Amino acid sequence: MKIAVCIKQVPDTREVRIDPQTNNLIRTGVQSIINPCDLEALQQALILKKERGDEVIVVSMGPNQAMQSLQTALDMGADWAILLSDRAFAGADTLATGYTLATAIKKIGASLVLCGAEAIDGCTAQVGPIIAEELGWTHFTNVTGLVPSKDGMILSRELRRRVEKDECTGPFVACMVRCDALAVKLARRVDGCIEIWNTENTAFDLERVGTRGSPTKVVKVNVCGKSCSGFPFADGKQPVRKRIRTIIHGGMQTKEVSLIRGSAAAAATMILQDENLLGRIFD
Amino acid sequence: MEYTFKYLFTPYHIGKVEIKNRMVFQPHVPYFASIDGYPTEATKRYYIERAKGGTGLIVIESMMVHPTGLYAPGCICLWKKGIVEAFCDFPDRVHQYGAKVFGQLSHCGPNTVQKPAQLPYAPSAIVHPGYRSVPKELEQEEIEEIIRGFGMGALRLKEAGFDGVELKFAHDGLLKAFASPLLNRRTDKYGGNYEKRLRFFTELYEEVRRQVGADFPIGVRLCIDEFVEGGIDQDLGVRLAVSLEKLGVDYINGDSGSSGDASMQIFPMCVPLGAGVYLASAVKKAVHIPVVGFGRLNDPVLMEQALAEGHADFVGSARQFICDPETANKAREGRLEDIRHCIACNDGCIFRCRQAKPIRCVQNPAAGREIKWGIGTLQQTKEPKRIMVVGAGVAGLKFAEIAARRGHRVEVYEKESLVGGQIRSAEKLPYRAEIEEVVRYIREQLQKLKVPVYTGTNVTSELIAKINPDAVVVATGSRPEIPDVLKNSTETITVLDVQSALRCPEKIGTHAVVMDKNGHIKAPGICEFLLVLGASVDYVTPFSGIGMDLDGMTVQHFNLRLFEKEQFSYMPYYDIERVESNRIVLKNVFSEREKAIENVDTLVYVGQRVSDRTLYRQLKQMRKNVFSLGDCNAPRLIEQIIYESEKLGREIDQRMTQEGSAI
Repeated sequence: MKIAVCIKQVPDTREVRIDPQTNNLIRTGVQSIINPCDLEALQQALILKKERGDEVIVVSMGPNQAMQSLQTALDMGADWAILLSDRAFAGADTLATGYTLATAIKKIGASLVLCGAEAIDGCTAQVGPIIAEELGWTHFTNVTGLVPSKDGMILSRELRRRVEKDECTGPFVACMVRCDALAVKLARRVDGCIEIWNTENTAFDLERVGTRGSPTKVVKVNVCGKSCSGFPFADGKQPVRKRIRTIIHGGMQTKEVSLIRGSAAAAATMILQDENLLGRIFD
Repeated sequence: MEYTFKYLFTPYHIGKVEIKNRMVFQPHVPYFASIDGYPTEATKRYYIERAKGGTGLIVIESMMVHPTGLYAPGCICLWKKGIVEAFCDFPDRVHQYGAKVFGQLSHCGPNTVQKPAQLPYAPSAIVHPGYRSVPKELEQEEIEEIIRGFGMGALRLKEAGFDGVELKFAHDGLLKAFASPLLNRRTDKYGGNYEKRLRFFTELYEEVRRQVGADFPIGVRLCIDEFVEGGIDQDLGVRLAVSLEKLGVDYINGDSGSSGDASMQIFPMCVPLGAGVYLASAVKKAVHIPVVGFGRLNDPVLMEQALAEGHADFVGSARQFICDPETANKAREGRLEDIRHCIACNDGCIFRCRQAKPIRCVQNPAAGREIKWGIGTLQQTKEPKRIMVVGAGVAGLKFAEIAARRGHRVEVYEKESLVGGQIRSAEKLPYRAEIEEVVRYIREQLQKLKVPVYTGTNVTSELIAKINPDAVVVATGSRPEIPDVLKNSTETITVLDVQSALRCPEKIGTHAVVMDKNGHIKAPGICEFLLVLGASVDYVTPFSGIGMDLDGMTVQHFNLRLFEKEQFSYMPYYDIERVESNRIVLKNVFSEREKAIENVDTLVYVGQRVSDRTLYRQLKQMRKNVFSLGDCNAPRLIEQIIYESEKLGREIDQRMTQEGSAI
């Protein structure tokens, strides 16, 4: 079985710096590592490879520097690696990234995709599920282990208060928070290499990659103190009502959204008629 | 589930007293004391149960130190003669389980549970936001007497064998009122600036310390942010904590909110878990004495997280330990899935507490009934019977759990594809998802007890005849009812009950009327659901307010959220008179004058439910030992249903010998 493992090269720092103009990460001058959760996913794939001889293909999207992470993956025992690198991919949000990775996975012909639950720089935890949607496969979040069963695979999922075991028989995407099984060390394959796939050698829909395929617009990024990790948090200096509202929303600032209901055509008409609404959506 | 606790079960010190683990049963008044202010056996068993369940520190009550500061009859009054003897061996009985017991001392100040207040006292004659009674400004002599009352109360607790005392500087008690720039406008030595506002506490603390000696722990339950404009906010809260530490206080037990509406004091379900931890964390950063974290910490893993991240040294909860007294032991044994988590519905505990009534728990019918139903009281049956339960709503499931624990062979049948009955729709209301825990816990227990649950099975009298069990428990529930006159009089308005509105959001139009004849959470909950879907909502009720039978905290949060929306309007004292095409004609219940709401496309009618007793009546004619249970008897709230189900589960053997008599 071909297992695709999606990895992301991320800056190795807690102090993420953000470009105030573009709201994107500043990557220069920061040491890069494989995103920790992705490393767990890779470890899980290597365990499966050792147990039953699966073929492990590592996929990453990013600039040429990401080669470094793919090299590490090959050193750990992955069979081969693909770097999705193209100017057209730049500025991708989770939707475009998910599409790009899913297109590569289709081309690989993998029947199992493992990825980290989320990246320490973006923390969206969206890419894995989006890949699954693109492939039309089922997906599992919060996965901590995979064990082959008679008909498929048994997954352990760690929920806040319990561990859930699921059995899946078809192809699926598993988003791993960690890998509970003991790590294995495999030898590097002599012929393991990194291929670069781009818009020239692979059929990507150019409307769906990079900035063009990215509807997300990051409005503002606040760096929050460590004090609020995992618990709701309100700024004591805010007015009372605002503090209460912030706490109710789990410590997040919120904004009003308006919901348009009805058929797609009716919704489209309403959007086109309401200039304010139009302004808000494409602001 | 495998989970290693690194901090939760390590001992820690408060002063010179070692607490075996980090869990604190937070102080509260359960109203089990006698009307004249003495602890009863019920009071003692209530606290001992939590010690038995493994909690490290039990802080009991808010005990009254002076007649001027009584919350309500049913609180323990420490000035009463023979109070030390009344506690008798209570501390030893707590110690027997390795727990320590502290007692909280309080003076209610302007905040009394008695409405109207007999004569409330406060630093200044100022009405606190959220109250209506004007208090009397305390005179110098009265202040001195109250201070002596605190000293005497502390000494009596020490004599009774308690391990420490806690002073209540929270919930609008007198201590907090003196420190509050909002409530203390005195111009004498007790008011005017921060230091002067703290003088009352300083003198009080010194008196208590003088009475109990240097080695006896004195803690403070401190309001860190009262969420009232102009009152104690986080900065002041932290500053107070620092001052208290300087005075010699041994620990800070975190707290927030104000008793006015208590919405940020006893967080209801809509407030996220661990909501107070950041406040405790702010204090922890500023002091060196132990700090107790608080705020919907209803799970050991969450508690561990608060400790691991360094937000607090202890973690406290009242409601979690009310809901599951064995939280600590279950966590230590690795049985996390067996823990029944508090859902902060407030229906049983604080709703009753604020009426000065003995508290109950929605999920744990043994709370307050420890003598009868406490840990270890479930008797194994001598004659295991085969019992068939029809209906896997809360009633059927809870009965099955109790009967199966006692050794009966129970099987459950449910016509829907999922178990849970009305919980399945209740959890769909905004901010109410946690209510699923009620079913999650029981379902998990049934799995462990290997009770078969057959879903998608319609039970008929033929099926029962074929299976021929020793007893049948009919828990077929209830269904919503909409008056025919509303259903049939219009074609332009879609008339829905709450469940169908939740199940079929596509049927909701743009202008909805919600008719509340229920008084609980359904109507405000469905209003919020409709607003989220973008409809404008007119809330109509013959009652005077939103959520008449809900606790004040839940209502307060509903009000904050509903009235914030421009599309929400509210019409109390109106009933629906008739429906004409797309208008709904209302009638004022007093003046009987009519008023119409135009252009309505959706009506959600929240009325009374009707018991489904068809199967029960049928079986009753044919068999012995047929029991009806839950909503099938009469539609009620979860608390009453769980109580009734546990009762039948415990008593079914005796009931069966009476050969199928009606309940």
